[in-house]
Amino acid sequence: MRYLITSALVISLALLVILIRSLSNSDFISSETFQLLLKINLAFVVLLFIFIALQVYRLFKEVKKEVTGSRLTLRLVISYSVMIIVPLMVLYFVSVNFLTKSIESWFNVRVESALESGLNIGQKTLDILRKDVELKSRSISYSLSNSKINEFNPILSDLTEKFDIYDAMIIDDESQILAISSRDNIEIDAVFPDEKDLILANTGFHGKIDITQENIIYLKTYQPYFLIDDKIQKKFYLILTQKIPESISQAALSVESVFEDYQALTFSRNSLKVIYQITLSIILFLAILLSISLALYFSRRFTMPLSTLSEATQSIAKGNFKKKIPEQGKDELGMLVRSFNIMTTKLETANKTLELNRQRIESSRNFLESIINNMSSGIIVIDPKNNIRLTNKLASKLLGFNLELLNGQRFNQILEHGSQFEEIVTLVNKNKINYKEKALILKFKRRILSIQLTEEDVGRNKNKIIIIDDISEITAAQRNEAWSEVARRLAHEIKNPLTPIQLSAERIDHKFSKQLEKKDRAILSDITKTIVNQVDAIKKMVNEFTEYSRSPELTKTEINLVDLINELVNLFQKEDLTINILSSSKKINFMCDEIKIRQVFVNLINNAYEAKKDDSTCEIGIRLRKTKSSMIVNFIDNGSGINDDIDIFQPYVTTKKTGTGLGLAVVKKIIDEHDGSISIKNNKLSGANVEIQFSI
Amino acid sequence: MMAYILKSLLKINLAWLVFFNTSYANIIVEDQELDSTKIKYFLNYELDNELKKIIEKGISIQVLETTILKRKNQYFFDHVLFKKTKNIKIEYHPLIKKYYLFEENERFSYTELNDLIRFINKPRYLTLDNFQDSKNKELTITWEIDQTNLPKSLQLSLKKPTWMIIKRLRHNL
Repeated sequence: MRYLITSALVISLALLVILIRSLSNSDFISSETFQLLLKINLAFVVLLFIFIALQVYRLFKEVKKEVTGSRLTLRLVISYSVMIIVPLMVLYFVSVNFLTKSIESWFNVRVESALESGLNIGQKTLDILRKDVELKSRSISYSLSNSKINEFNPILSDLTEKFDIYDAMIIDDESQILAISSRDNIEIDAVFPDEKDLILANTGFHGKIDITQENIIYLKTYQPYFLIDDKIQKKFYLILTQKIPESISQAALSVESVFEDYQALTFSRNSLKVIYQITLSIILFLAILLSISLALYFSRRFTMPLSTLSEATQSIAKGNFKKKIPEQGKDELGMLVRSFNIMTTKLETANKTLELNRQRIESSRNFLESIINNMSSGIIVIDPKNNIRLTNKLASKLLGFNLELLNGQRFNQILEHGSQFEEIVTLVNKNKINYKEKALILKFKRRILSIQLTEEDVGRNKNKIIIIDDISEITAAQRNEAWSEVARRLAHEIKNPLTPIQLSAERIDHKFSKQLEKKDRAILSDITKTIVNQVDAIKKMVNEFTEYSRSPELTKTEINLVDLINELVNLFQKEDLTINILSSSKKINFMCDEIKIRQVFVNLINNAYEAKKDDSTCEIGIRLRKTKSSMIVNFIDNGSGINDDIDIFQPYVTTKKTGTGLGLAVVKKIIDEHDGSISIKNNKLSGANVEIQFSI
Repeated sequence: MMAYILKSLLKINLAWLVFFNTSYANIIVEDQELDSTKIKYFLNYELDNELKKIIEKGISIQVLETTILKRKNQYFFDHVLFKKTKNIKIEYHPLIKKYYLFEENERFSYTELNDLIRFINKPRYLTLDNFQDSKNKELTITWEIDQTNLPKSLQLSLKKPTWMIIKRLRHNL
């Protein structure tokens, strides 16, 4: 664009100089070259206008697209243009007015009338001279008419000399030259009269003023006359030629020439005005268009660093701190660019440090998260506004719902997942934590959870940390230990007197039944049987206690679990019992204590049978699966299911009226001894599903 | 091809000039002999009022009579066989109130301008030699003011068409 504007500036200036110079040369103005120049200038104005129109259109498009800096450029262009156009227009109108007035002043009325008067004087002078020659002609012809033909020559010579006539000639009506008199030796042809003039002179005097090609004015008179004594009345013509004195002739012709020039100028008055106006208009348009071009160029040049700066700022706002602007000049804009570059460098360094710190924090956070997630306790961090800030997976698992979904939300929202969390919420909502209230025990879904609340030590706004521990197994182990101790003591203290009691009861029955009457004998027999039976029951219970409290001494052998289960099924042949076996293979070998595992399976089948609904058939499905890492056995029944709120594997916990509550406790103990796990849950429709899992 | 297009454009331009300016004009082939052809041509020109005023103010005017004989080509520019230019000068002396017409070294004076115009409109004759083949030949006679001989200030108004005496008399021989 710079080169284009420079070229336009140079060309237009050159054209203007030529045009203005040409105006000072009238020859040049009138030539075709001037008009060609006008056309070229005009064409150049049109080209420049198109160029500017395109530039302005481009600028408006940029404004519409909201290109950075375009609005400022447009504003500057408008301001510059107005600043330039207004004085130019004033100058133009003053110049046009001045020129018009100047041209009008050339055509002064007084000048014109003076010239016309001069011309009139010349005409009158020539008229006077013509009349003088006419008088002379009449006088000479009168003298000649009183003479004879042969006297013509001397009389003519005398009279022409007397009247100061330049040339004189006498011809007859047949154009025969009869006499001639001349100051110079003239050629006859040159002065010989025109036929038309002779015709005009035929009726009387005829005179004319003429001018030669050499600009000599002369008077020519034709005077017909007759000789008085001539009876034939032959017509003669006296032809006089009188040259106008050179001083008068030159003056008159000079006036005529000036008059002619003045008239020519008068005719071109309007054209001159138009030419000057067109030239001035072209100059105005060129000046305006060039000014707008320059305004466009300088506005763009001025706004370019600002646009670049704005773009760079946007780039930095997007996070590109490497953006640098080329330095321009030493002015304020240059200083601004330098300051901007220094700022971006500092921002880049700060950003790098920030990024490094962020990575470190991220790394620390990941490390912390990893630790928290791998902790054996559930963790919930709550910020001072009681919003959940951080949780680990175990916390979600222990509380039974996905806590991560509540991250950033109020802690109270955990109440939506169960009213059992009310105690925790109450604990957290207390502003000052009393040491005694820092921990609570929550029984929830057969789990015993220990909830501990602590506060961060650092900072004014302290975060609260909830630590959740599953103490179910610890509690169970403690309880088992206690029950084992009780069982051992019971076995030792109760089992010993039971045999003498039973034997004594049998002896009483045997010794005294014969002595009693039939009625009393029956009563005694019932009483002793009751004693014996109850002692048997106590023995059985003691045996179970003994079994439960026995220390684990496993005798492991490899057995086929499929065979074992088939054998047990054959033992449980009852009308109201159906057992289905589903095994992934016919042979699933497993290293275990066969007697104890048999006891486990018997206990589980018994439990399932005892849990059957009244008047219905008990259906038990046994499923055996073996994977690469484990062996799984499921006992699925259609009974009444279990109560979710109690841990059925705890000793002395039973839902049956006659159970000791030790069956499943013994089962769990045996499974634990085999490093396995046991779980129980209700089926969707009815019954329960017991799953035993052994690691291989 | 380009030459053909240019030629067509020129023709249109010339035709416009003829119709615009000529009141009546004609070229008549009077006598065609073996070695020459005699052409009679005439104008019926009525002097424009403005031009009349100019002449009466004493401004002399020169008219150029250009006679061009061309052999017409179909695609290329025509070949000029003959070209002749004649100067005719019209002059008025307000001092002696006389009109002069200068034509081929001859001078004719008139007291009335109409007499001068009548003289201009009189039939004129032209003899073209070696003119046997008359096919594709065009004769053009143009009358126009010699602008360069006008007073300089008057040349500014040159482009006024009413000031132009352009008579392009065409005759296909």
